[in-house]
Amino acid sequence: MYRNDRVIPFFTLVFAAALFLMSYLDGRHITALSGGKPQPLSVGQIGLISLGLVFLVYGIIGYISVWLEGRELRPGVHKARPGKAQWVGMALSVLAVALSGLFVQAIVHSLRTQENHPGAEGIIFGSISLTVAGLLMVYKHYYQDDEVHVESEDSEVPW
Amino acid sequence: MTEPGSSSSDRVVRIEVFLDDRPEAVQIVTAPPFRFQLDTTGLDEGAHSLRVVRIDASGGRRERRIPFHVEHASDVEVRGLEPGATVSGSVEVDVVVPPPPAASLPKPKGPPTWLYLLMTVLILGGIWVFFMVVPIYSNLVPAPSEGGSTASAPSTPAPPVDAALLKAGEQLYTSDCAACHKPSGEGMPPTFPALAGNSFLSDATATVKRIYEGSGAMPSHPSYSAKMLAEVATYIRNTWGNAYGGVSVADAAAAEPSASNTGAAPASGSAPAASSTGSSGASAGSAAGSSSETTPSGSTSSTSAATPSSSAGSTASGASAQPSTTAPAAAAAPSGGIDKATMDAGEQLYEAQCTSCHQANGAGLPPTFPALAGNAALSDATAVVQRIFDGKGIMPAHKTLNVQQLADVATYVRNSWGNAFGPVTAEQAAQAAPKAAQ
Amino acid sequence: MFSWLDERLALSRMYKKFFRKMFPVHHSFFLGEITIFSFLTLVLTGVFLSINFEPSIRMVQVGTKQLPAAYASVQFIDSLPFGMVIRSMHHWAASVFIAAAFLHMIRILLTGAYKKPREINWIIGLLLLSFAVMAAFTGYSLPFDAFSATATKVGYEIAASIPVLGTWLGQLFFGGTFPTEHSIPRLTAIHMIWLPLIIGALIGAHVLIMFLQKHTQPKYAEKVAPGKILGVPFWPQQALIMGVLFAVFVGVLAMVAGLFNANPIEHFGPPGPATPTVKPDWYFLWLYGFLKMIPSSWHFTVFGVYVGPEFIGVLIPSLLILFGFAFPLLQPSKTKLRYLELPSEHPVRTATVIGVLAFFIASTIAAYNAELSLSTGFLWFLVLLGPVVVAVLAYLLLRAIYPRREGASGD
Repeated sequence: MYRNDRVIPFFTLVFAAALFLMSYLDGRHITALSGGKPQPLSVGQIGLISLGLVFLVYGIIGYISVWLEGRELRPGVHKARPGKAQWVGMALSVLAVALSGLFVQAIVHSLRTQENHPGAEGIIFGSISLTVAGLLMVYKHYYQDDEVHVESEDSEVPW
Repeated sequence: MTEPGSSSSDRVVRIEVFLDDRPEAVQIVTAPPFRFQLDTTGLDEGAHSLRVVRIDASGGRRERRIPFHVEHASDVEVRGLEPGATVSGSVEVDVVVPPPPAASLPKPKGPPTWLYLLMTVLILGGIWVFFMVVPIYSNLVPAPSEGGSTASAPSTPAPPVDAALLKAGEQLYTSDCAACHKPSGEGMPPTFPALAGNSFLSDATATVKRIYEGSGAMPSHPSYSAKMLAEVATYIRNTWGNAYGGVSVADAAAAEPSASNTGAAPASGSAPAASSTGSSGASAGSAAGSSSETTPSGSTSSTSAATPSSSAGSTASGASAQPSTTAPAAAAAPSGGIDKATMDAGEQLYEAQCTSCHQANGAGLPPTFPALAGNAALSDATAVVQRIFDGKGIMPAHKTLNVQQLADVATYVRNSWGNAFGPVTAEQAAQAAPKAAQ
Repeated sequence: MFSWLDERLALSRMYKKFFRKMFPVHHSFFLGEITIFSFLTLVLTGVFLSINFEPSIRMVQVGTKQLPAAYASVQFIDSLPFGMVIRSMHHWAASVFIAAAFLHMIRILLTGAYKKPREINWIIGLLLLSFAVMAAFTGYSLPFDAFSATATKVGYEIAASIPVLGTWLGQLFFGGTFPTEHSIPRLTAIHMIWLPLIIGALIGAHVLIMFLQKHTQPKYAEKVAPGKILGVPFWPQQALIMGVLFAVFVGVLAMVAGLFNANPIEHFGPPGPATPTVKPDWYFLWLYGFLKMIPSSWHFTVFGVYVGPEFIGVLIPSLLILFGFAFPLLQPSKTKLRYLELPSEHPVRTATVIGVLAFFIASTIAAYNAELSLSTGFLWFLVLLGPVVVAVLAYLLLRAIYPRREGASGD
């Protein structure tokens, strides 16, 4: 477990799925009790989803960290090789711009019709954010040299 | 450090390498390949610079300065003596000298793939099983029914509905059930389930049993006769769009043999405790049996363990055994002259604002929400009004009630479910809660 | 441009000092970062909410209805394009803040990172968690819908049940018996100004002290660079990873917030005569469950001060939290902890942490006793005995899977 391994991220993803499943089944239970009418999220469901969110983000960033930073550190500078990554980068950039256009469209539509579609707005905004994350990942992996250094334990940072 | 000689006058004849500002060169190379080794282990950590001087055949000199940093990865670690520590006597100091770092450490074996899969299936499956198969949930959670039709029992035609039972059932429902399940059958989810469209009702036997024995927040109704059970079951199964068919008295009696067939309810006016074990006819029978006994402590072993009986009688077990002990108090209390209109107004207010915690039958949900039935604390009219108006603990205040409304509710709770503590007048309420609106 | 600034602000020195701090690489270090990013999200979305929110419960005319001003202004926020998503994100980020901070704390416990020299940061962390819960509680009441107003009312009553201090606390935080016309403005000021300032300052201190004391490191660093910190520099490597994390966090959060509105005020309506059946927010459920187990007959009088069952229900968990503060100080040690300890090599501590988790889960289940038809006796059994049984089982399991190795190298 000392290494930056994939075991813990895998199981946090499983836990996230488990918590979401619990929340979903709990929701069905509540809906059934209320005679089939959809109810707002209960406090229990909000708690389950919140913990699930933390586990989900942890699992995702865990896998990303293993991919970008490796399992163990060795001092030195490791040059990055771009390869054909520019095409991936361009595709992601175009996607980000397209999604941004869609987002503006959604806002304008909402202003014009006075109708809100929070689900669609949230998904579009979230997708933009995830695309930016993808771009940063591509940059980090293909264009940024890996630097690993050692630092004295009693360096005068910050005092 | 290599310089390809292009012309003869430009030919490099010597390279001198200087470290930092030392006057003497650390390396002098005169012939290609101009390669040398710089050993940094002897250097201090931090900033250094390398000065490379190139001398060509014509005697020209050109210099380049290359700044660089030295970091020593391999070091020793000292344990037991912190920098700046003051010590005396003999001190044990561990110096850890590391083995030279391997180029790549051996890859440790992770868990095998089947273990990943097994754990995933176990975790997710366990949750599914808990929600779908474990009795408390499979009992409570019916599959969502399609608009409350008879879709769940298509093979057998719904039994005929007896109009008289339906009519009588409505009255019983309004008085005993509507506070939680609402007159519209919508309930107050999640605690009080909706009855409209609830496919749990398709099972007549289970419905009758649930009414008689209760479960969780649903109180039991041991005073119901088989006929009353049939009436209520018929009503809730065939109202608000439900069409699960009627329940005859014989059906109800078969489902709940311990219910009396006479229709005469036992004398206990106060509602008994919710049976906490949620359970079989035998335990409900024993609960009903012990409510007719006059043991001062709780009825069944499980309830007495759950709620230590207190002298205030504010617990469920106390409530079920209370009629015998409150009877003298009721006789002594001034019980005459209770206005029917006051009681009705109080009942309406009680149903709107109090039942979600204290329950329609006054049994409450102990220990958080105390029982009102048989609660000796109600004997003090002033305290009752103040408690309603000001609230206390998790009991919310009701500052919007006026004096008359306070009097109505107080009168109602003091004279229902077998309580007989006497009426509360508007004047008394005004004295007890001077801030209340007139 | 850079040299102009550098001459005046000595930027290159700051770069050398702070931006080249080495970050050891391990994914469990991200839990703290997730917490910081949820705080950042809260601040950013909070800016938008604060400029649209009206802290008052005076009645205003909206269409044909008389509504409290706070409720009406939240309705207005929901009607703005993207407004509902931002409000929902704020609500979810608050929940995630507490969840992530709690899991971060569990990670610290499991790896022994609370030991010398990091005791102070452990205490600051617990303070942060407490202030975060306070911020969440004060923010909960602001929309002033029937549900949140009732839940806040229950919280107020519990706070007011504290002997001697209760009334005083009620005056300080709620401006009298909740809800008065002073309650919402006061809670707004606390929620929007003072608590964020305190939390921000504490996060600053938390991070600065972490910079000073350095991270605990994975054990292999001892072989590669003993006595040193092995890591990637903050700028540009770690900062980029943090950027990825922030983008992923905001992305996932926005999707969930858009799909599920955590506090649909339209559904509950403004506070009316009929009080809805409420439960406190999920991070209070364990306290609430504890409260449910205390019989209403438990009360006593000390020095003429009435101590009711509500306070007893709060007292026991508070003592546990106080013990949490003192916990690292009870383990004096001569040496500094430099490397993460493996949970499997400290089975007693690991089993205890699992027991504590079981306690929280059990007392949360106790909050659902009515729905699950559990008797009070069973709850006591579950909450007191359950965690002990779980801890013992965990200990035996750990011992069986990881037999004690002599001179374990630990990697």
